[in-house]
Formats: sequence, structure tokens, C-alpha cells
Amino acid sequence: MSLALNDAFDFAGYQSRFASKGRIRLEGALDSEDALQVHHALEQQTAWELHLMSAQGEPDVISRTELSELNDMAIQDRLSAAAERAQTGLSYLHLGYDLTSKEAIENLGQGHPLLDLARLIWSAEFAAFCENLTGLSGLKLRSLIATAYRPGDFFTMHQDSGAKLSFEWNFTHDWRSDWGGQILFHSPSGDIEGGIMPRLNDLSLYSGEQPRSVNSVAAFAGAPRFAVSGRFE
Amino acid sequence: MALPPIRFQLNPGLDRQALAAAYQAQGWVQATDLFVADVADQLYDTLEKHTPWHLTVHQDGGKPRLLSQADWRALAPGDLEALMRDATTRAGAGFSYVYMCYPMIDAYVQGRDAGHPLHSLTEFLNSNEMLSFARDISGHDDVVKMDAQATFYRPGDFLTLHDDRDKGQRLAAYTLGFSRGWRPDWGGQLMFHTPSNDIERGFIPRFNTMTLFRVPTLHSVAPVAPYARNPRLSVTGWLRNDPPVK
Repeated sequence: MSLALNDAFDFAGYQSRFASKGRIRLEGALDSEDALQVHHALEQQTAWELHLMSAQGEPDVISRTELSELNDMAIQDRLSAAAERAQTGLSYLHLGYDLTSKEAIENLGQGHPLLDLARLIWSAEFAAFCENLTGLSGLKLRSLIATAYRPGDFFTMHQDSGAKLSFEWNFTHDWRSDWGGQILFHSPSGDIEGGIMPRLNDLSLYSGEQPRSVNSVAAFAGAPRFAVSGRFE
Repeated sequence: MALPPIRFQLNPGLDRQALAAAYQAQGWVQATDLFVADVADQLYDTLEKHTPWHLTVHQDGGKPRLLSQADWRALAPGDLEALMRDATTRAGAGFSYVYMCYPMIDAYVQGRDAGHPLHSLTEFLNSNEMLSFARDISGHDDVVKMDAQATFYRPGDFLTLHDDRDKGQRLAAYTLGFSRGWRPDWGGQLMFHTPSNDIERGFIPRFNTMTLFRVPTLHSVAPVAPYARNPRLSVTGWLRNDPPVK
């Protein structure tokens, strides 16, 4: 399948909102049938690895091989290290599948909706689409990842220094607004000035400088939170 | 428990006019440094170390279940977990909560924990000094009492979306925050939700800060992150216009 972007959006309106708030979101960038296919692939056909921050504060990945071979204690220690770092600073814990390396993308195999989505997002067409929505120019995609947040997963407050634009394309459906998992935008006072609930086929674009976090997903959330996110430089 | 009673005093520097104007304009306002510093410190100390917390969980049908430490120790093995699991499962589909609580009004009226400093807070909240402050900033001349419960949210505790609309005598909702050193990504924020289900504002737990907001306002308390290191302590209730307790 080849995916196409809808273009029936009020681009001028989005540009002016982006100029004033530094963030926008739009629903329906993909056809809804295609979005459901992507959701299905994320839910059932993705070989997730565990992405987290190490005790030394470095990005850490527990691969599928390690997940099956390491003993529970060893995995638990690494999870604890990520949670401990979250107490005082930058840390994260979620399932991930890298969509930056060509190899990882091609390993998905022909016909995999995530392969088609990754190709679309890496295309010049998608960069132009984001430029049209934001009024920015010269956007070059640097990294892309698929993520699944389970209850308890989180990404603490951070900024993408050096990113011209960051985005998250969410593919979660039937979320409730008190299940956590929002992208939260933090003000200098430490309060929250806005939060975006996970939704199906919902593309959020935000300037990399704005401090944000992914609110830890509540224990009672009924499903994982699925998204594909990336950054432009 | 031989804790000295607290000699309550509001911060004399509070700008009532500015607070009232902000409340009128926004439907919410925060008064920082609500009490003079040593009063706030004593309240923190009381909440952190000397409060006989009860566990409160939402039960099927909506009736709160309140368990003292004696109550929960007397439960059969597994029953406490079942209650928590049930309240947590229900949170996935609607209103529910799990947190630690001290029912200040009931405890005061029933004469439990005699001499506990929180009883002096209950008295202060219903004194002329506090009620006139509440009337001034809320603009409701008919506030006659403030009900109150002390709350302590542990990692994982939560209060899902609701709007306080059910009781007519609730003129406004308030919280008195006594959390120290909270970080913006530890959860536990008082969240205001939009009709479209996004978040329009979230208040980080603060120390010695009163937050007043309109009823009804769609709000929740975000689950406290598993890695939050400090206790989320507050006293919460409503400004009311029904007859006072005493």
C-alpha cells in the first residue's frame, strides 16, 4: 500500500496558529482507513524493543534478543535505573521501534503499513507538508521512531535543542482524557499550559524549544499509546 | 499526640482585590504564600509526619470507602488489593479515585484524635478571618463554611475526571497545597480539561498555595508518577452556603 497525505487543510490558519503558539495539531492527515491499518500494525505487527535511559544517562535499548535472554532481575535493574533518573531529570521508558536506519525500515517487510508510513514521512512531500503547516522552510528530517507507551511508561521534561520542528503522529484510539499519556507543554512556572490527548491519526507539530513531557500513562489506561515521532533540523 | 495547636495567621500581604479580579476573569486563581511561613511549616510537618491517614477508594455505585489503618489491617488477605484493583479498573471507564485521606470534618465532629493540629485548621477554615477572605476572593457573599479533607497522593494515586456539579451548596472548589520540591514531570497536577478532552491548564503541586476554582470545572488529579519522590500533600474542599456544622 502506498500512503497519501490529505491536503484539504486550512494551511494559512495553521501557519498563523503555529506562529503565535509554537504548536498545532491536525486530525486526519491520513485517510481514516489507512490510519486504522497503521494502528493495527503498531498494535499487532511491530517487533518492539524497550527504549529507556541507562543509569549513566545514556540512551539504552533492550533488544528483543536481550528481552528473551536476560534474566528478569537484570531487566528489572535497568528499568529501576530509568525510573531513578526520572526522579531528578531527563529519563524515559517506553517501547520503541527505530525508523531512522534504512535497515530497520526495510526489515519491516513489504506491505507493512509502518514501512509505508516511514517512507511517506521520510519523503520530500511530508517535509513540504510540514513547511506548509508551519511556515518554516528547509526542514530536513533527522530521526524517526515508532513508540508504544504502556501503563507506567513516561518521558520526562525535555527540549529538542537544535531541532527546527518536532512532531508526533499519534495512532491511538478511544483514549480517555484522564488516562495520562498526553504530550504536556510546560511553562516556566512549572505549570502546564497545554496538553494534547492521544487520538487516532492526529499530527502534532511543535517547536523543539518548548519544554514538554509525555505524561506517565495511568495504571488504568485501557490500551497502549501508539505514535510515530520525529524531528526536523 | 502532644503537638502544639497552630496559631493560624493568613499572610497579611495577600492582595485580595487582585486575587478577586483574577478569579472573576479566569474562573480560577492561586494565592501563593497563603499562611505566614511558620504556620505553613507546621502544617507541612503535621501532614507529613503526624496525620493518621485513611485510604479512600471509589466503590461501585459511587459510595466512597474509607479505611482507617485499623480497618485495612483487619481486612482478609487479598481484600485490600481487590478494593484497589476494583477502583483502579473502574477508573479506566469513568469516575474513580484512590488516595490517602483524613476526613477533617467527620473527625472533628465526632471528636476523634482530640487535640490534633488539623482540628485547629478545621476551626480556622471556618473562622471569620478565613471565611471573609474566601468571600472576598470568590465574590460569593454567602460563603458560610468550608468543608475540608486532608489528602496525600502516593505514586500511582489518582482522581479521574469530574466537575463537582452534584451538590448545589458548592460555590467554589479549593485546594491548599503543601507539597515541597515538586518537579513538573512528576504528575499529580490539578488538570483542567477542555470539552475536546485536551488539557488547557495544569497546576503543579506547590507549597503553601491556595487554588480556588469555579464549580463546575472539568478537572482531574493526574496520577502521581511512579518515580515521584516527595509526598503530594494538600487540604481540599468547597466553599459552601449551607448551614455551618456547629
